[in-house]
Amino acid sequence: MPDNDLNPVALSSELDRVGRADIVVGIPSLNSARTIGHVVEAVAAGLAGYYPGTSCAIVNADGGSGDGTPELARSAASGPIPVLVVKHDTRPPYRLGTSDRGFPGRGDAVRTILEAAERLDARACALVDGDVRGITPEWMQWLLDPVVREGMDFVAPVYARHKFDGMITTSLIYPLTRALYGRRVRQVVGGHFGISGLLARRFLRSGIWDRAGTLQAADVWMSTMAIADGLRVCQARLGAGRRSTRGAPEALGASFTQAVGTVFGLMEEYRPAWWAVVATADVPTFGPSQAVGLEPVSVNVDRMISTFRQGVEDLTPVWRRALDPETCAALAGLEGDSATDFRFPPDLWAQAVYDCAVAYHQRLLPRRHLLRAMIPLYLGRAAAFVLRTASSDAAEVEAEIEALCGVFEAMKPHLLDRWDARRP
Amino acid sequence: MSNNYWDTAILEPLRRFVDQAVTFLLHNFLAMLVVLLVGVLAAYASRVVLSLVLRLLGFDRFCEKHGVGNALESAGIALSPTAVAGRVAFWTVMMVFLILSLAALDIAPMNDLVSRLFVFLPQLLAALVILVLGYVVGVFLQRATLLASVNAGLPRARVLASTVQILVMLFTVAMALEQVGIGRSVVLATFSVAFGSVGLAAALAFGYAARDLARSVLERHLAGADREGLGEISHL
Repeated sequence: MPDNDLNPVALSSELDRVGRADIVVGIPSLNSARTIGHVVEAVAAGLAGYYPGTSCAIVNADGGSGDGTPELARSAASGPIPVLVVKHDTRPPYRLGTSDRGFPGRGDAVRTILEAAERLDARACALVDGDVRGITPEWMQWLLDPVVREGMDFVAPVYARHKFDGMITTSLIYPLTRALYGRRVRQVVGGHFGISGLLARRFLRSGIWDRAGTLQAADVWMSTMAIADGLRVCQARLGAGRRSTRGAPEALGASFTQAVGTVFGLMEEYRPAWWAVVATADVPTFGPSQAVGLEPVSVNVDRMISTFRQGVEDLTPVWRRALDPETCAALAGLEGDSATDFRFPPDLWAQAVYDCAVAYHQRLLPRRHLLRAMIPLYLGRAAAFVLRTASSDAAEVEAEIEALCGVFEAMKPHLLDRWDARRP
Repeated sequence: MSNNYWDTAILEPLRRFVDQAVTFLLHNFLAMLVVLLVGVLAAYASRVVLSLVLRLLGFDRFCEKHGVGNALESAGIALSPTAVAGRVAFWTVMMVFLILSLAALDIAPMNDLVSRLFVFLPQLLAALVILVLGYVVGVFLQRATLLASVNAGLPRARVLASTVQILVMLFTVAMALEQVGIGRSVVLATFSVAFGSVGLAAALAFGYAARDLARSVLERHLAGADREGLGEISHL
């Protein structure tokens, strides 16, 4: 274990000292002082318990924390498994304008971990976020076993979350990526993955790391690349998999624009992979299934609906530049519904999302503005989902999501017809 | 007698005029056209060379990394930073050669005009740059304000966004006029009074009429949890 935190150059000599590791677990972190200690301990216990006799290493790549996260990670390491802590300061000295594409340093942190895995000639690599709560040693088995024992290349997480949590994923990203690429991978924005050594090398060889924008959303890109390139992809059930931000939700604007912008951006890059896909298929899923959370939580539906209605009132000129005229007219028609029976039909939602994807591709609007203009639409759809599933059990919620996915798949021709057609 | 008179009074001046006209056309005007032609070629070459050099240097990547690409995109300019730089170079060179071509005509009043233009050109260019930047910033802030206001649930989002844009444009025009020296003191005084009044009025209006709104916004912000007022859920 090093005495001091390493910069990427010093890491190189430290990796030489370690020599070789069959399994590397990377922990990207940023200001995760509250959770990092537990994460490192759980990872170390999992590796010791499930992979005895296998050479392992843990790499904590920190994106520039100011709360002592790297020091806490180092102090939590107390077993035989080497824990390398590397600090980054990847923020440029100044910026003109702002970026919504994730916290600074995460992309470089992931890259450092993958490079470490390559240098150590790892057969398998797992990525676990430094700010995750509820991680247990079993996570190592669920994320790594499919790679080590089943020959999988990429393990995506599946979380048993509350039915109203993660609605950007359940109402947009999952139905969209599933309809596009034909693989039913629930969580492309996960934070926790299992990766084969072969795929880690493939990620490193791609040119993605030179592009500042996509770099910050490395999770979405890695998942999409694994799916679109037809690699052996599976899922691992990780329980709740909560981040420590519970109770203080992350800023919706930044989360939405970062995740959706990356998915839209990758649609351009992977057009050949999704253009002809017409059917979808399940992928293998490992780990024990767990129940979806159904306990009452506070959701301000009125606020969601009022934001949607204000969008109809104030943003229609902006939406007209991005959406089909009939989509705009249908959205305006939703305005009259009362708050209690507010409905946002799935087909209208799918149509709006596809229109926005086309607008993003054709740059009908500045992209960042387009993504922000989608937020009231998303809140309208989320409010309708909450109202519709207020008294639903887990199976009914799942059926609702499944039905939405079916609508996205059925309406894919709407996207294909418009993708290259210039708007008059 | 009459033949002499015809030659001296009519034909000779006419001949001199034609000679001068032909000389002008063959020398000065041709020179102007040549200068213009060279200007077009030089402008085109400067655009191509600059674009090539900037591409080799990874200028677009640099701009994207530092947010310049986003700023251009936000202002509705659907060109890469390299293409924008190429066009600016083209028209700058073109403008210089246009003035030089006027000098090539060698007409006394035109020469005076050209020398004045050369003195005035830097100020004019600076004013144009200020106006363009002001427009870019104005459009960016108008859209950003509108979208942020709607997403934050603030009332009268459009009015707020338009006000921001108008203020930025006022500020820009005042700066541009100051640069070219038109009505310097009057413009500055008018702008200062107008800008100050609007700011004071907005502060008073917010302080008195929107105290509750300000309090709730601050409370939500300082509370940390649920800043957007949407509930406990995590969206991603």
